[in-house]
Amino acid sequence: MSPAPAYEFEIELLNGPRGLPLARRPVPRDFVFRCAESVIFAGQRRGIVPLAADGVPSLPGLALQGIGRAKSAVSACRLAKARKNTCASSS
Amino acid sequence: MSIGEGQKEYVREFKLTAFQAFAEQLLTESVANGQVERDARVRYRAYAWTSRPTSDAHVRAKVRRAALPLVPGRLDELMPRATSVGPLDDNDYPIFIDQHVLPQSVDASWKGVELEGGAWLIGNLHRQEEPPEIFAHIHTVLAARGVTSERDRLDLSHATYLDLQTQLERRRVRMGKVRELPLGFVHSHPFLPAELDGHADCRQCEQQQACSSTSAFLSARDAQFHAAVFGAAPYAAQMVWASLLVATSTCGCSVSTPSAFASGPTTS
Repeated sequence: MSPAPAYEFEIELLNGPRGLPLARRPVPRDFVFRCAESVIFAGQRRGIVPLAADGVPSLPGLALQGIGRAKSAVSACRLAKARKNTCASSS
Repeated sequence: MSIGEGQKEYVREFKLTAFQAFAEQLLTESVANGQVERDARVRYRAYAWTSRPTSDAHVRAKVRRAALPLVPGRLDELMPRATSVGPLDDNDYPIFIDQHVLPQSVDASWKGVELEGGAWLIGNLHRQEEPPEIFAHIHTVLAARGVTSERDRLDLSHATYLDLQTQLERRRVRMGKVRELPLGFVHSHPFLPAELDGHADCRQCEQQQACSSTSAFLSARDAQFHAAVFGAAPYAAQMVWASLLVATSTCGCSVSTPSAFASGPTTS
C-alpha cells in the first residue's frame, strides 16, 4: 500500500455578479470521511474488510478517485424554507 | 471510492449531492452577507485534486477506526418473525426493531403538538459469518434529556450526551450490556404539512383532497444533525414521528413513512 496523497476538495458558488464566483472554500475533511466510513462499513458487511475476532477491521486501504476526468463538476442547490419544507420535500 | 481488490472489491460512486450540505453552508453565509437572495437557486462547482502529483488515478488511504462491538448472530433467527417496512433494497443493511420499541419511542419523544421531542434508539450490531452480513437489532429506547425544543426545532446539549453516556455506562456495569451502542435517534414533528404553507391546518388547504404530503420526513436540518452526531457511524438510522390529521379535527401521531426513515450517511 503506497502512502499516496489524499484528494483535496473545494466548492465554488457560481452565482456572483456578472457571472463571477461568489465564494470558494475547501471542503472540510469530515465530509469525505463520512463517505469513507460508509464504504468501509459496506466492505465489512460483505466480508471484504477482514475482521479479527474482536471486530477490529484489518483495512486493505481505501481508494479514492477524483471527480470525473475534468476534476470538476457543477450541480445546483437552494436553501430550504425557513421552516421545514414538507409539501415540497414529500411530494 | 472503493475498498478491496479484484472480485472482492466494493465500489461506491458518490454523486455531487455529497457536497450539497457544504454548498448550503456557503450559501447561508452568502445570504447573511447580502450577496445572494434567500430564494435564489445557486450553482456550485466541486473541484478535486491530489495534493501531490501522482501517476496513479487512484489514491489509497488507510483509515484507522475503532472496532465495532459486533455480536455473533444469524439473520434466519430474526427474519421469520420480522415484517418488512417500506421498499427493500439489497444495498440496505438490515435493521430489526422490536415491536415494543415503537410505542416506547412515541412515549419518549412525543411532547404534544407544541414541542418537538427526541429519544435514542439503542441496540446491538450483529455479525453473521456466512454469508457475510452485519445487521442491527434495536431493542431499547432512552429518552433524550437536556434538550431545548420548539415546535419545529430540537437542539441537543452537552447534558444530553452526558446523560446518554451515563445511562449506557450504567447498563454496562449493572446489567452487563457491554456491547450496546446508540443505533439511531427518533424525534417528533408535531406539525401538519399545511401549516408550513401558511394554513391553520390541512382542512383549509386547497390541496387537501389530492395531497399526499406528510410531516414525517427528514429536513435538511435533520440531515445535518444526523451527520454531525452519527458521522462516524454509518450504521445509524433516523426515525421521525409525525402529526397526523385524524378524522376531522384531532391531531394524532403516525409512524413515519418509509421515505422518512433513513440510514447511513446523508452524503450518499
